Amino acid sequence: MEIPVGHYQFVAAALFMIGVVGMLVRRNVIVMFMSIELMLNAANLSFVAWSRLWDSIDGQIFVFMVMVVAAAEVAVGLAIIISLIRNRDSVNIEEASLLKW
Amino acid sequence: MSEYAGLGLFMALGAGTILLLLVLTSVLGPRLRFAEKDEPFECGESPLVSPYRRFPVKFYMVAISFIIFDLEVVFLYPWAVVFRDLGWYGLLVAAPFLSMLSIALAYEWMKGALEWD
Amino acid sequence: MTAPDLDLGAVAPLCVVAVGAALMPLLDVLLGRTKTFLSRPVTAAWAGTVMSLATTGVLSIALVMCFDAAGAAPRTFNRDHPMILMDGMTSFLNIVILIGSLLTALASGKFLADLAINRGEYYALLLAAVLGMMLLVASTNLMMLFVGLELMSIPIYAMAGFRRDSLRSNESALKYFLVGSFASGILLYGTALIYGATGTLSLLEIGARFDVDDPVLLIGSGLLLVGLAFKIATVPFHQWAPDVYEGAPTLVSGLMATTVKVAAFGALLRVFQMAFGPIDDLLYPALWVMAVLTMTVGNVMAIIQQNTKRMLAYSSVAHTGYLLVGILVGTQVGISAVLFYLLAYTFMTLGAFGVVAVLAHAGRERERIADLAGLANSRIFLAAVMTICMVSLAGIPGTAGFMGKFYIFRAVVEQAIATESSSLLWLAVIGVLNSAISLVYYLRVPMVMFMREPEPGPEPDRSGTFEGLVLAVCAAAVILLGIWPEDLNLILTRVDVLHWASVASASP
Repeated sequence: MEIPVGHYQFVAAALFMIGVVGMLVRRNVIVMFMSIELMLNAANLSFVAWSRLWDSIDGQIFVFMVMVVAAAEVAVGLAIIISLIRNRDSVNIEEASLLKW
Repeated sequence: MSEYAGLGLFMALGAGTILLLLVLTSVLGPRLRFAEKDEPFECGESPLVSPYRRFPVKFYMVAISFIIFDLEVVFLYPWAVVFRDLGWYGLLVAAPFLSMLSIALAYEWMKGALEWD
Repeated sequence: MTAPDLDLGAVAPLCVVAVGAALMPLLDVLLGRTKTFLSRPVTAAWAGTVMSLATTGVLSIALVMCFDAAGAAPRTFNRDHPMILMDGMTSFLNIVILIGSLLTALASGKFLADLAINRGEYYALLLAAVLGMMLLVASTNLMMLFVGLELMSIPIYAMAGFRRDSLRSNESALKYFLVGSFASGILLYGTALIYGATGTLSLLEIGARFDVDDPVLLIGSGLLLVGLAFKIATVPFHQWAPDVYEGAPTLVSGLMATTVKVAAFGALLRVFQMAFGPIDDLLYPALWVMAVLTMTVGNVMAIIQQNTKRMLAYSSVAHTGYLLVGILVGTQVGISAVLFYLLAYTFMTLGAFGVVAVLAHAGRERERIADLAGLANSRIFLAAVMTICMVSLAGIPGTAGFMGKFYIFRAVVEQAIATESSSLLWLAVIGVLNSAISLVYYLRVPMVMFMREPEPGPEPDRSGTFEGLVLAVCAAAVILLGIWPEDLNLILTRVDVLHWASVASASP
């Protein structure tokens, strides 16, 4: 039994929306960080499913690129968060914001 | 039946490796007993602390390096699949990418990011 | 297996920058380990100068190559799958990007030393970001566009937080990172939907297969545009810009306001030209509203700012609005005007940020507008450069900013008359009114510098040779572009903007 492409797309869209809503309503940096990853991975799932539908390899290559870009983002993001926490001496990000959100 | 022989060999090898590692660590590994060793999840961080506290940053350094190098290797998998078909040309094209990675590693090493203390 | 037909010569400038970005960390480590050079001790400041000059050298080689390529016929990297297109527009935008980053690199040596953040990674990050920008403006494929965008953004996130001991720099980096990644995620999902609807990632193919009734494709296009709108900071996706520009080290803010914006606009132009032709009518009202809002909000908010960098951030939002007007025109004249404006804008904004950067001293940045008081007495050169840049940003005749606005609004009016479109005419009227509003805050800066007595404080030290050179180049370029724009247009006439169609239509 083959799962139709549409089902994958629904899951991808749901994941993407969870990511977007997480970004918009949560104010914990780590959670926002995970929301971004969720958005990228929703796009990945979508790409792979479309790639199967169109029988083209482009989508799968794109997923490789996205994975590596996401890793680079994680590394830089973690570094930024660590330097912020070291200066602030607390993991509570939202309380003291010098620059208004 | 013979088509499952490979799978059987794989499982036997996997189990054997794990057993070998377990035996080797118990024989060769130094025995240390202190409070941190008895924690349920031993990772160099105390599991229950106040969040308003300094923390050792070196674990995060290793984690960050790991993420990058782990995922850069993703590009090598598709290359490895068609490695023979591509031949010397494939090696030539992969060389710039691999040398980039080597430069990054060399930089990390020389900067001392791989030193633990 | 036959090797694909690759044209390495086409991407030679990118290769130069890539090699530079890869070798710069090694140079940094080597300089850190060298104790003496030619029997003189190696100091941190000296090493920083060497790094800055090496970066400048790499960028100048790439710049010369781009000048060479500007007049030549368009080339693609892989003829069978044209993902990178080096045509006139790419070369022109590459030149603007390289000039902007070159001036930044040259001024960075003393700036970093003054803030006690003289670390070699800065230059590696800078070169990597420049490579991303060049890739971004050259891409004719959504995959390359995404990779270029991220290669540009990720180093800039790190550069924004380069003052690791400064909480404001940290917060700026974090905010830029979160907003930027959010935008990337939206753009990426839009790309996925476009790919799903058309089965291709090539911009030209997408344009050819565009079905205006397909909701998936329309949503995807919308998400792609929202993602790019975040990057160029148009209203309502602009709130991050002032905060990020304020907290980041000043030269990095300058880089974000100029070259990053140039690169993102280049990508936007490409997407519009190649892929979104069929939905021009659908996008027009949305972009019209966006352009008007961006101009007006940017200018009005800039008036009430007390911090020079924040003021310049809102000013850059306002200028994004003017540039959107040029994109809305859509004609070749309009696109040429946008390209000219990008060049002019780069010089004047970089000059203004450069002056603020030079004032940084002893680990402290002097970035309030009040800090500029009496600058005309203490440092007449800085005051002169700042005045030229402000006058140009305001669009007063005789400067590059005036010619840029003149070209854009002339293109708008011509197109409005040709198509008898009253909405375009209104756009021109609103744009000119906005320029008038902007006089209030731009001219306040020279007023403060020339009329006000300086606040008591440490005597400002002399600016470094390279910093002075950079500021002089910016000021001179602003004036020259204002007086002889036609000569500079020689470059523009060589830029055969619409030539891409003949090359790229050969794609399968």
